[in-house]
Amino acid sequence: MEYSGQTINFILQGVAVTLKLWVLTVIISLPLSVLVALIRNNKVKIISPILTIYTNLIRGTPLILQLYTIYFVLPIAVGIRLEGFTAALLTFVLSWVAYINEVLRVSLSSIEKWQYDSAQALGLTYWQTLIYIILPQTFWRASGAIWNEIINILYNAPVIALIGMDELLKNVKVLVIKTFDFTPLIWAALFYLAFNNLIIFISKKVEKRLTRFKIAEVRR
Amino acid sequence: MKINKLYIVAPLLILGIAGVLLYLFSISNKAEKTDNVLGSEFIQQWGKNEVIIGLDQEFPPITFRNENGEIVGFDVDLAKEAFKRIGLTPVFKPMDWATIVASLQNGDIDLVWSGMTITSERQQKINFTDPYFKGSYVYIFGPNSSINSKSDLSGKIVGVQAGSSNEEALKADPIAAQIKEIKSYSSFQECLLDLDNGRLDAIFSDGTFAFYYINTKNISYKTIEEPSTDLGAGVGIRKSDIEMLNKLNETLNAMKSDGTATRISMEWFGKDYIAK
Repeated sequence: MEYSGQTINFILQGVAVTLKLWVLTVIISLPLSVLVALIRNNKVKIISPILTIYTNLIRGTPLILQLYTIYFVLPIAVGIRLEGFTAALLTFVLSWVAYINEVLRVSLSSIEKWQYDSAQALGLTYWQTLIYIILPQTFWRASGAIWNEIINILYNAPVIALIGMDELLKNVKVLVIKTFDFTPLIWAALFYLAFNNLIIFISKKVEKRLTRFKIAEVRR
Repeated sequence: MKINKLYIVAPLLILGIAGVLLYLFSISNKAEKTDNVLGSEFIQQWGKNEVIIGLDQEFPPITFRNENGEIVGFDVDLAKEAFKRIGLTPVFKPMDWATIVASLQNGDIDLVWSGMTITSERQQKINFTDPYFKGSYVYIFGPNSSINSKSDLSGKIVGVQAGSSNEEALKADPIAAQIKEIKSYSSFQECLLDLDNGRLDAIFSDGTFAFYYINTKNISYKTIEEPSTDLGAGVGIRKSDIEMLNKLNETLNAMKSDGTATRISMEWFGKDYIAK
């Protein structure tokens, strides 16, 4: 298959949309997930049960259905008409805050109570304990699952084609349908492979730095 | 309390088995057969008494499944009539549109007969019969739209189906330069949803397909129909099957000249869309 500048441009436009969605979802979801996980772990009245219901609701329904609801049903049901990318980002953030906060919450509850007590005995405030002692360990224990979710965001990006967004895999598929030549699919595969390996590489580096927080067995 | 493992494993197992059974059932239902007729010299060369036709089952009224799950449509009736004359049994096989030509080249199917528009890019991969169908394009607007002619489209947002030949046609039309944005959707249904909720000002689509679809809805959409500028639809055949290509062209021409093709078109569309 011969590639005109237009074809390459068309594929790159798709890459740009996919990456933009990925980056924004990661940046927004991670801090929100920490917050939600802390609230749920501390069993705050009223708010914690609501957040648990939200988490289970999202984890219990397919992403494609959530996107459909936010983009097509909201305008009919309540008159809120979101623009395509906004709807996609909102759906992805809602989804991944649910996935990541659940992972973090489990990891958070696995931190032994004596660590809080020791920190208190040493004169650390609650927030100091959280930031210097508890959260780094939480991240270390949950890192495998969190990196998986971060990669999953990229794999799930093609669903936004449903709402008319020109995303990488959709643009590639359009080229295939037009010419019935499969080479563009290989380009897409190579992109996903290269990008995910970059993420895996970064995850290894980060994991190495977090290893120093592996102190759980010290006092058994 | 300790929960017996069986309570967890058993429902999962049942779900899994049910899934596999459903899947197998859906495969066995995919091929539909019609009556077999006689043989001839051509059939001896063909080597078997059936011909497997790949199609898109979501393209009403050309090829689709009716309420009973049977594969029907304008192209299905044409194919049945053509192979009744040739003396082969057509077997209709729904396929994914993106991989349908690969399936043809691999030999999973013998023909693609599903309103496939003839394009020079596709002709590099496969052969086409002479066009048997020449459709139309249609612009669709909401019932209260202020758009009355094509020129009113300037500055508007128009939805199309991603990768369809009409998307190409719209981009080639001079009006495309004045349109604010062309948004492409994976299916016509999503286009229509966004027209209904006001994100789109218009839809540009394949005529027969769009009319069939909007006639099933209670909303009276405004439409502007225009003749299509493409080469028409042809039956896709492997480059090596020259005999089949000639036989089909001969049969389709006979069906055109004796009025059978027009009759089938009138039955499905109420209008003659047969390519001359």
